[in-house]
Amino acid sequence: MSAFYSSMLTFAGINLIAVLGVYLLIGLTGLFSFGQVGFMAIGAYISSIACLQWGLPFWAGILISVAFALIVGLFIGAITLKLRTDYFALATYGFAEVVKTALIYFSDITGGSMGIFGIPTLVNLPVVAVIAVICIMICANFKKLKFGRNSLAVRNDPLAAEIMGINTFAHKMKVFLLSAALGALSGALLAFSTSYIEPEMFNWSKSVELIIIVFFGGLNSLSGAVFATLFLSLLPELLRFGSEWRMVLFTFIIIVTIIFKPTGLFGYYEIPLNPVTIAKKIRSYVKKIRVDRSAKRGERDAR
Amino acid sequence: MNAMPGEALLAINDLRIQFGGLVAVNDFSMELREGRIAGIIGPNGAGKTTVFNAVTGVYKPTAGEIRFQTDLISGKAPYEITRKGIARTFQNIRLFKGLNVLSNVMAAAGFRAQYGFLGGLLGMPGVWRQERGIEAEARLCLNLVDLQDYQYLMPENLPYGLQRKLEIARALATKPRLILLDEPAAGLNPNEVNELMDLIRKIHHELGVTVLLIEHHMEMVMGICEELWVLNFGKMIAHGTPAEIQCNEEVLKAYLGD
Amino acid sequence: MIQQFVNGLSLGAVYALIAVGFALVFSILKFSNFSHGSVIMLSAYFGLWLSSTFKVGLLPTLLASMVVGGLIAVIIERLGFRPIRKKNGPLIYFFVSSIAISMFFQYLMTALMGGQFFMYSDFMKTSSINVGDLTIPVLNIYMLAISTVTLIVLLYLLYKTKIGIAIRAASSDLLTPNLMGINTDFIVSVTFFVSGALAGIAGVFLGLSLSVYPQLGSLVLKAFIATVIGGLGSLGGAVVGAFLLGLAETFSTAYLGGDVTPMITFTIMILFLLLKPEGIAGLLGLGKNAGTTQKA
Repeated sequence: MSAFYSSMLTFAGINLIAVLGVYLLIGLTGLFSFGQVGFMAIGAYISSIACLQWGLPFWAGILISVAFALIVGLFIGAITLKLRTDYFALATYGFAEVVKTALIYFSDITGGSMGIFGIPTLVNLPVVAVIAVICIMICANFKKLKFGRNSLAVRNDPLAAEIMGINTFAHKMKVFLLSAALGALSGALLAFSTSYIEPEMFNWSKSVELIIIVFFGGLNSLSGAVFATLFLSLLPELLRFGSEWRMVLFTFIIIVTIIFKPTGLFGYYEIPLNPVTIAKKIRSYVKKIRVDRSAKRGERDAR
Repeated sequence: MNAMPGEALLAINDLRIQFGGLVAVNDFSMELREGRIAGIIGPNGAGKTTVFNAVTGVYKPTAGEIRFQTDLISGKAPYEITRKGIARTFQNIRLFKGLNVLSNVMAAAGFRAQYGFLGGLLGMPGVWRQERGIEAEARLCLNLVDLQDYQYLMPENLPYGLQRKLEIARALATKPRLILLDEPAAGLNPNEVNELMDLIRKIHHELGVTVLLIEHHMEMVMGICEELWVLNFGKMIAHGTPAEIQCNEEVLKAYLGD
Repeated sequence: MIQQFVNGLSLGAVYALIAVGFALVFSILKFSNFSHGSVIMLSAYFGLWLSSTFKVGLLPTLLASMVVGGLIAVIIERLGFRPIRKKNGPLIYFFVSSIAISMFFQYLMTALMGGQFFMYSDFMKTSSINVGDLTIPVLNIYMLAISTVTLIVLLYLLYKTKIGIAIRAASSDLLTPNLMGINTDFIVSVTFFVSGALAGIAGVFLGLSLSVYPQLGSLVLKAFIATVIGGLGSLGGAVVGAFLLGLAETFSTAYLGGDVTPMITFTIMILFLLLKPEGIAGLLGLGKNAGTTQKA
């Protein structure tokens, strides 16, 4: 596979991990957060600094950055999760901006707005692919088990959810932390794949891009989120759009989607990965074709 | 620790709920013994749902206390109260859209699952077995209200009467000892009301659940309640058996006006 | 020190225009309209084009931008929000739509005009005057004066005209204006026009003082912060919050440096969110807390 396609897919895969976090938080649980890029920045910078300045091995750097993101997430979540929707959005936006501002300000450690160069390129497509698949599986488990039901319940009617015995605050915190971990992981992988990071990579535009992907793919559908990430990450490259027009297209698509199909492209639909389910679906589809064919034959014979 | 049949399961003492200048519930006290089917009635706006909200933790009392057996529950979070054994349905149906019928009920049974967050995410072996257990429990609740054929439908697509039944099935999935039904008969036709009365008797008899309901439908109230409290403007104006309440002058005045 | 105070007031005045427009839409439709930033940005570009092509002065540019800004806002409402309202969509969709719209226009202008910063030609930026120890740019005086006049006119509109009363009525219930014989859709359009007109004036001023560039619209976030400080849903609170924000930012930039200022701003905002979510309006018992029990 040529280097161009390889790096495109790698980038899409890294994007996907961050999108999964956003999907769980905004899509399933209805917690509209602009903070994911803040956690990505934490993941990218802490892992890079751990590797370059503290001489730690690559895997240790990633683990430390995820751990750091979880601690920050615990703190931020405790403050913000009790706020109502638009305040929560604003507060998480504030968090992401503060992270970016801090990265620029503490330039001794972070390289300021110039960023960090020369991070070893230890991440390539196979690594990202494996990690991405693991993350998808984790999210699929999340959705199928009680966590997915709790998320949808909390999103739909938080009061009723509480009354049905769901500790809504604890659940929101769990989702928030998982989402933060995914964001940090994504950021760390990004750092070790592009070998260069700077604060502007984690700005408002990136936030919006992630949110747009989730809304486009379908708030409720994991497969939709995966598909949308791959589609919207790869499409502009394949069509050789200039980068400015790519975003114009993105935002136009999302506006149209919200107005005409607000539940997103996939809506509630999920691509079944369970072999039993796939077999069942194939069987019922074949049966349907057989029934149609014999019905048509019956019509012909009757004439 | 179970209460002896006949002991107070729910005790409300001098409950006062005030919103700014408005006193919604005024020094209300009641004691509900385990194993009873009882009701709180009164004209609209009398504060009945407010009492339910206080018992289930939606409101914190301005004064007074609420005990479930000996545990003080007033001021606790709703999920804690539910996990102690008090379930509740809503006046306006509040089913979870976005989850199908079965998942709605499973959502209420979820807190009893033993698997933790990490274990679940990684798909550890015991987790799926427990999931099937939750599913089975949920199906039992659906069977009880005769909704098993609708398990994969979305609640918004069910007719109104079935949605009400689903609310009850969902509440039952929390395995309560006390269930609060807020106007369960609202909007039901006479056949459905009879079905509902049979269902309540079934819950009471087969599951041993104590039932406290708010209702305006007098036939149902008089038909199944053993004990009634009557509220008007937040204050209790009468307490007794249906027969006693029917003859009570205060009650008649409250409902019919002077 | 007084110098900074005056600068802060001028900045606050422009923020106030943005914040009030933002708060107007919030009060009737109950969501945070981020596309407000687009109206500001597009008006800035329009004002620039008008003044440099036709060589008109400040006041005509402002008036024209008012009209254009209002029209843009009405069009945005028609295409981007009305379909959702007609389908009774949840508030979150309005919010996301408004964000998508704001980003759409930002990227569109970047693609069309490039990311560079355009400056208004020199004759628009007149010099400063000296009052005692202070050097006050004439522009700031204009900003403060015209913003104040505009807000007073707005006050008159809202309290003394039928339409204005209908707008205020709509904030407690969108259907109320129907009782006055005014169509709901019409009231929504009028409100957006007014908020767009305010944005138009703000856009020209911001373009003059900061130059014109596609990300200019992100200043609407200042409006959001101002309304949070002032109390979401309260117009008077938005104005107060905006002035306080302008002053805080000016002093912070002057004494602590521009890098730290965003952190200061957000910390203030977070403190308000956590400790006093009803904002200043809540503190003083002013205005209506129309938004406190709703979700956007």
